[in-house]
Amino acid sequence: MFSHKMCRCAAMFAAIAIIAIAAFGCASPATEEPTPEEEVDERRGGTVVIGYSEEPPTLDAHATTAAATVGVLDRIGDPVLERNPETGDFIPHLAEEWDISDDGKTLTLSLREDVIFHSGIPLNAETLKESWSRILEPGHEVALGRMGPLGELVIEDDYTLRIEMEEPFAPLMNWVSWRSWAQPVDPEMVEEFGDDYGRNPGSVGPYRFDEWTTGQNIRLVRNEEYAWAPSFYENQGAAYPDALELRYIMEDATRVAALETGEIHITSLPSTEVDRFKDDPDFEIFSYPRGGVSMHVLFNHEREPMDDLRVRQALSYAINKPAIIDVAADGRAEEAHGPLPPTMWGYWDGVEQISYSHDLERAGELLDDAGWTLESGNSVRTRDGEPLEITLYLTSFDHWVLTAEMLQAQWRELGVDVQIENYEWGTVLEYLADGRHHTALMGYSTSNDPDWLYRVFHSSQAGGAGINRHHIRDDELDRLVEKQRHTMDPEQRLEYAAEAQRFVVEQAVQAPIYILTEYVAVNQNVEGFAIDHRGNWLLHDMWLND
Amino acid sequence: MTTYVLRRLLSALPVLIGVSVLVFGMLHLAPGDPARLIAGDEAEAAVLEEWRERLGLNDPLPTQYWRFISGALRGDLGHSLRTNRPVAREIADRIAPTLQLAAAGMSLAILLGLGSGTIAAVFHRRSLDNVVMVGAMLGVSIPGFWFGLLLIFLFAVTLGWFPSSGAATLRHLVLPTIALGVRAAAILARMTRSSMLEVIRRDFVRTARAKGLNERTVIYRHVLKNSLIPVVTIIGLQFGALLAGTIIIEQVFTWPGLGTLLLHSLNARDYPLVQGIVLYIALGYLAVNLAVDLLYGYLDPRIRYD
Repeated sequence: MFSHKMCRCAAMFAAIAIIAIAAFGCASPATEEPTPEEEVDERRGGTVVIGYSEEPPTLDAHATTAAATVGVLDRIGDPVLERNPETGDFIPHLAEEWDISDDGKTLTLSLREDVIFHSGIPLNAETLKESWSRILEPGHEVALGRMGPLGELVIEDDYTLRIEMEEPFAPLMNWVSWRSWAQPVDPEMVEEFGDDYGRNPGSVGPYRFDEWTTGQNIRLVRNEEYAWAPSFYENQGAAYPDALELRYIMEDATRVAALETGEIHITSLPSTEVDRFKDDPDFEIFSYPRGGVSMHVLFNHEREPMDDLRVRQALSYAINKPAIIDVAADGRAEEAHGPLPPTMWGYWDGVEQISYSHDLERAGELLDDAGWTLESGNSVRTRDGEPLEITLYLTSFDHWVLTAEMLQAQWRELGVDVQIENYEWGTVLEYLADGRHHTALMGYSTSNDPDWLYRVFHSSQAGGAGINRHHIRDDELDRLVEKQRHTMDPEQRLEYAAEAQRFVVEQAVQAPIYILTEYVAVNQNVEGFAIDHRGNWLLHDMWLND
Repeated sequence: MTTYVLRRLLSALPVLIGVSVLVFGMLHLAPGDPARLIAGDEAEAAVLEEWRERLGLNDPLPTQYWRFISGALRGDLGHSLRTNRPVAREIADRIAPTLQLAAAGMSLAILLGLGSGTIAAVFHRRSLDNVVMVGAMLGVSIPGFWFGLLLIFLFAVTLGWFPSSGAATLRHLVLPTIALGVRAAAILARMTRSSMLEVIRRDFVRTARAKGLNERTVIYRHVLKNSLIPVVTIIGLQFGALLAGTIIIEQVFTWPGLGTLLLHSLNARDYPLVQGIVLYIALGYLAVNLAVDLLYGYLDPRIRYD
């Protein structure tokens, strides 16, 4: 009996030993005989933890425009074309070459032949077509809206896809280079997960999706197959870190605490914390202007007295931008001069010469000229006994209320009575579409193509159909923004975009105020982190030094 | 007893219906358009209209309410507008962490509250009493989010004893539990103390002492148990406050529970999700109150349920 028990024990130990040996045996090729490359590369390994304030609603590239989603998709997918981080010009990525036909209606993309999806199937003309066609399905209008009139997709051969449009559409190039919405989605994973694809995404990028712990974090692991990094990275192979953890910490103070304790390596800093970290040797601080124009005043051209150029110009002259930046943005912003930001391809720097700088006297003259005069003893200007009263619509986002109050005070100095109308965001957007406002605060950050000019100034986008919340309907402006939209030659397109920007500033269609500065703190242990001047995080040369 | 429980369960139904009507009404009357929030700030009118149609937002309110309530009765709370996942699944993901945190907070509150309250009562008008009462006053007065940030600063950033946020291990639970439980503990301590002081002066306590029972038995067997009825009521009420507190505390510590989910869904005008969460919280609250009522009978056998 006793010996029988012993026997069983021995057998069990033997079994465990065999399993253990087998397990170690399996692992040994990687540990004992490293390839020469891996032997020298101390950069490989570790998990870089990035802190974000917002958790994505879904990781389905076609179902949302949420910035939080873009932050993840940017890691797991690649765009078909890339923009040069310095110049903003298009450069190859998944497509090695591209060609625009003479009539401007056809874009032909020649794909790299060595790219495979996370599921293992190759990226080719067929799978790319399948991926982009998915955008046309119901529920994906958001991505479709970003794209404009995508034409017919024609497979020319295994690795050549042609986009045929009914008319030349210049923003298409930008769309093809979108880092999130236009990235190929893994058709096999779409098929496998169906409605749950948003929690199990796949693409062709340097990291593959691993795990999503709701309310906590998303874990991405290195894609070992990756060998198609864009040319501006030194690292042309797989990423260095074993994994990326994207941790979601909504509360700013808590997120900053996690940065200080080393629980997270990288996070964007609230502007109030910048001074505290600036001189801390444990962290490197990166700063860059936020995309788009963070703050501008919309004038409603359909309402009196905003239809009068002199009134719009007077209000523009009366704005003291540096003072507003100091008060509303803690000085952490730069002045905006036109409808597009300097970081966008298509920006015309001429706006800096012709924009309105603070000149109260000139503003007063313009209003006098328009018939709005200041009677002695009054603080508000009148015309034919009618006081100069205007509304300013906004919602209570960060910086917005202070900006509105500064504007109210500055315009008051000019003798204009400003009524501030503060509503919930969705409500404000509805009111602006209806044209209830004289003026309103607005900002944007997502667009990176001058076709923005078409979307906010073309007459077809007014009256609630689109986002022309200026309600401006001007033939000359329409002509210019249409031209920039339909001109495929980049040089010529730049000229039309420049003319449109000149028009917008000269006619004081809107009053640009500032572009916020973003700050990112990076733990000293993280090497090779970079941000291009448009604010894209370039992470492929990044490694953990600990 | 069984009839009592059944009757209580039946009477919970109108409460739940009332809660659902209130939540539904308030959400739909408040400004804000979920279609706009889904489709984005830059969406065109046609896209917005399509989304409103798809989400059923163009139907009359009674129709929308009926759809919500009849679905809920069948166990279908609809899909989250933001994530497009079933509401029941979103809640299932989050309910365990909240229960865990609430249970830990409540346990801490009961241990700390009853313990220090008893000490204060026994040492009535002596310095230990004063220390406990000053502590309790502080505990009641400190705002939860501020106390939470203070804990993070002291124990995570400065001392490095606990992680600042997240929910992976038991160590993650410590700071949020303290931040959540301290307020309820302070209230319970004050309640226990005053309730015990009332009982301590009663004749039966004098009798117990007179017949030679030792002080320990007098306090635990006679005073404490007889002081517990009002304390248990407060515990039941505090559970509600605690659930409300988790919304703030979860946010501060990034605890992945119902509180953070509720806050997020409110901001996103995620109607189905908010309705679902509030229904669950109401259910939990009703269950706790029922449990409290049943506890009375155990504490005071004179109480009968018929």
